[in-house]
This record gives sequence, C-alpha cells and structure tokens, in this order.
Amino acid sequence: MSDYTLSIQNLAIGYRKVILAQEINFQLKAGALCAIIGRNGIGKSTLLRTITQLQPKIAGAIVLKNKTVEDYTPPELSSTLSIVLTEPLATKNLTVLELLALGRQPYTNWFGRLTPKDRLQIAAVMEQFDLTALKDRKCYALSDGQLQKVWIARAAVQDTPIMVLDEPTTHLDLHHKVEILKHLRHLATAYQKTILFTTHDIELALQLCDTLLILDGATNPFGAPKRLIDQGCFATLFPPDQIIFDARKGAFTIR
Amino acid sequence: MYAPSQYYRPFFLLIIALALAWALNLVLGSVVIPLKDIGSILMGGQAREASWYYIIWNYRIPKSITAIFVGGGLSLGGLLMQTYFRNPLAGPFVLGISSGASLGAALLFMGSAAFGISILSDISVVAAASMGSFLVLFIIIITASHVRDTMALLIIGLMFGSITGALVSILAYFSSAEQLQRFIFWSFGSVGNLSTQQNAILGGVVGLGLVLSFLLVKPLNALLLGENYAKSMGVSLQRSRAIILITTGLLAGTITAFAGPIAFVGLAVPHLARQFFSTMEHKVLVPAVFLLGAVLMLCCDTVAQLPSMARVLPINAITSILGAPMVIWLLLRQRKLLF
Repeated sequence: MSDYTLSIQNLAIGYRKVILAQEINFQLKAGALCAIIGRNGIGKSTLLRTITQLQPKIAGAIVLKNKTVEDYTPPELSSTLSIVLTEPLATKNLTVLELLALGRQPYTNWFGRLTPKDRLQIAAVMEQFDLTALKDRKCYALSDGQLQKVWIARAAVQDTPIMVLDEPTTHLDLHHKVEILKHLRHLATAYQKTILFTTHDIELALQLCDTLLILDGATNPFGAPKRLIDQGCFATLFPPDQIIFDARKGAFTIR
Repeated sequence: MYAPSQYYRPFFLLIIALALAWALNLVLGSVVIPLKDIGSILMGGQAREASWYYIIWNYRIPKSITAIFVGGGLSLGGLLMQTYFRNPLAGPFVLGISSGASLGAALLFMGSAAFGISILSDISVVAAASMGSFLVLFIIIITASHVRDTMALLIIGLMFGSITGALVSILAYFSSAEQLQRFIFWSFGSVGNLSTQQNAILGGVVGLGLVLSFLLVKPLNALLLGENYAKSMGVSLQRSRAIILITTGLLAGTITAFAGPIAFVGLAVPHLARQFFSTMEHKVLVPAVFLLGAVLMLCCDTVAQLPSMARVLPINAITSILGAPMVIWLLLRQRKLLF
C-alpha cells in the first residue's frame, strides 16, 4: 500500500501505432496540485484522456488509489475521478443549477433523484464558487470565465478524490485565470483532493502548483517547481534563440 | 435542479389542452353530429341516427386514439434523437429514419410481387418499416462516430432521404397502378382506418417506447453534456446508446408503418415542450413531449378532416404546413435554436 492517490508508471500514450509520448512517470498524493506543461501537440490532452479512460493507453500502468484504472467499474470510476474537458457545452440551454446537479449522477438512483444530502452538497459548492446568484441563469448567458467556473464546480459536486482538468485557464483573462487556479489550489489544500491539469500558463503554474510535469515526449521531467528550475528544464522548453527563461523571476522573456 | 411542484401548473394546462383537443377531434368531422347526441353516444346511450353511433365508436374514437399514439410516439422519438445527437434539428424525419421506414414499406407494397411474397399482413408492414428505419439508424450511427460535425450528420440524413426517394421511384416505375396507389395513399399519412388489432399493436409499441424512455431519463440527462462527460459520470454508453436507438427505431418504424411518414411532429414538439416547460430535465420532458405531441396530432387530424366537408386532406401535408412555420418561428424568436 502506497499513499499515492495517482501513480503513473512507464506510461506510453498515443493513437494506435503513433506513440506521442512515452516513459511518463509521476506520483501524486492527496492534496497535490500538479500542472502538465509542454508544447502544443506534444500530447498533454492525450495524456489526460488516457488517464481518464477516454482512450486506451499504449503501455505502462495507471494506478488510482492502489488499483489499476482498468480494474475500476464505470460507477466506481465515476466516484473516484472527475473531469473538466475543453469541448464546448453542447446544450447551452441548461441552467447553472441543472448543470451542477448532473454532477451528482454517480450517487443518485436509476431515476436520478436528488436526496437532501445531494442538494446540500450542490448548495455548498455553489456557495464556495460564488455561483449562488447565477444558479437560475442559462449557460448561454454566462461569460467564458463564469462558464469555466461552473464546469469546475460541477466536477467539485461530483466529489471525487481525483480531479483532472484540460486547459482550465485557456481563453480567460489574467484575473479569471488566477481566480480559477486559486479555486483549484483551495480544492486541493482544503479538501485534500489530487488535482492534475494541463496549462500554457507556466508562470502562474510555477507560483501555485506543488509539482509540475514537463511533457517533452522522452524524459518528461517531474518535480517541484524550484527543482525543475534549478535543473534548467525551462531553458530548453522553447527555442532558446527566441524565448529565454529567467530562472530568478521564474518568467519567460522574448529575446 | 428538479423541483416537481414547479411543473404542476404547465402539466395541468397540458392535460386540459389534451382533453379539449380530444373532445374537438371527436366532435368535428365530415358528418355533422349534434353535440347533444355525441354526449349520449359516449355515455353509451342511443343516438337519433344509428349511423352516428357507428361513426363515433368505430371511426372517430379509434382514429383519435391512433392520433394520440402517433403524435406522442413520434415526438418521443424526436426527443431521444435530439438529446442523443445533441442536435436541435434531429428528428425521425430529418435524419432519414422515416425515409428508411418508407423504403421498407415501399419494398413490401410494390416489391412483394417481384419477390414472390404475397403476405401483406399488419405485422409484415410493421416489420418491413421497422427494418428500414433500423437500417438507416444503424448507418447514421456508424457515420456519426466518424463525423463529429452535427451539420454533416444532417446532410447525411438528407442524402438518405434522397437515396430512399430515388429507390422508391424506381420501385414505383416497375409496379402496377394498384400497388402504386396503395403506396401513395400510405405516404400521404393517415391516422384513420386502423383496426382494433392494429391499434393494439401500435399502442403496445408506443407504451413500450414510453416505458423505455422513462428508464433512459438519467443517461439522457447525462448525455446533455456530451458522451465523454456522460461516461465520466458512470453512464454505460454502449447500453444507453443501444436502448435509445432501439426505442427510436421501434417508434418511428411502427408509427410510419401504420400512419405513413409524418413530418415535423418529431422535430417541432420537443422544442415546444422545452419552451413551454423551460427545462432540459428529461423527467419532465418525456411526459411533456408525449402529451404535447398527442395534442398537436389531434389538432392536425381535426384540421385534416375538414369539418363538415366530405373530403379528407392528407395529414402529412397538415403537419408540414403547421410544423415548418413553427420551427421557423422558434428560430426567429431565439435567433438560433437553443438546445
């Protein structure tokens, strides 16, 4: 028995015969906030889709709470792992409350009846995410920032020990990016959740995350931000003749 | 969040509307029967003319029941398709499922002689039309898993409509005038002339569709967020997909077999129900769509009967004339069909 909630061992990901990235190794404990960074097209979303069982792995092992992910039944997995994807909401006619309530599906009966406990849980999450005033608003009337918050709140309503999010801060302004990341930080710290997300906001991730995974397809360095900076991992992330990394400030500048 | 009390009022209004539409449908018809006599006939009493008794019990009542089954069933099929494809324009007719049923029926009506089959029973028409609708549904599912674009899916449905139309023309070209006439009359659509036995089969299938739809409420709600989210919330996609498709295929196939290809009901009614009840919750939408579809079909049938005239209009024309502007009105009102 290890105390890791999420353990990835020698994982190779890709589509059929095309391997996008391999030798991915990392372990996360409860309360950890981890960002996956890397170039466009390197396989960040594919990695998340593989971990969440939306597509098959090529090799290696994905272990959630001491059990490989393939051994989970669909209902079991749905109360262990929740997701936030980049795909747009297909039915914008849902109200915020209706969308959040769907997060309770793993716990409701065949007819989807919400118990008082479910309703309390939904109300608590709405309060925490400052969504109570918006609860009857239809999703088409929300801004991108509000909608992203609703998606994350839906995953929080699902109340799983592990949360996986694909680019939760993309398309948002700096203020909303920070707000979203602070919510994630709070969920991890206060509720002891393991949160894994992909992002292009490396400078923000360096400030807020416990650990980072730099997906480069081959060595995939993983560790605390400070250690990765000391190892010089960020200097070679982008072409050094165009972008340089200031290790002292933890920021990128244009050459 | 689902709070049943909030929907009591609209459901109450809908049931009143159903009662009114049903009454109107029984009262109005080619033959003028005074209201007083209709009342006494329905109470089991005598009428001043024996033929009135016959018209009410053997023609208008079975016809109105068929209309309720047809309208409710087609609308349910439309709701399932719209949610499954998360596409506001999906419906048994638009996706070519009704065309598939037409092809099946056409093969039976006009090709039976060529294939040496002479059994033209109710069951064989239902089987042929259901098989046709399943075939198209199956092909659409396969293409849908390759083409993610919903617009492409509708175009594919449209193309199926064209292909089946062409195949039907070829069949028509080689068939006798009598066979052709049977098919043409069938394709106009009609909710009359169903025997008690046929009505029972139709009622059984629609009842089964209603039960299956209620069993599907939870996965349907999850599917509103897309298949990936549904899966992440513990929905068994394969099983739900299979039940949704079987239900829609059975409903569209059987109804089309008995009542002909009826357009727009399956497309328009779910939108009207979403507007009227202002919810996406399938616990509400399944019964609401069924009731609203029944009301609409009763009204369309009443119009098609051309009260106090000897002629009857094809019901398919009426549903199109009423349904198409309704969809346009919804589009204009909301700029786009919100789903």
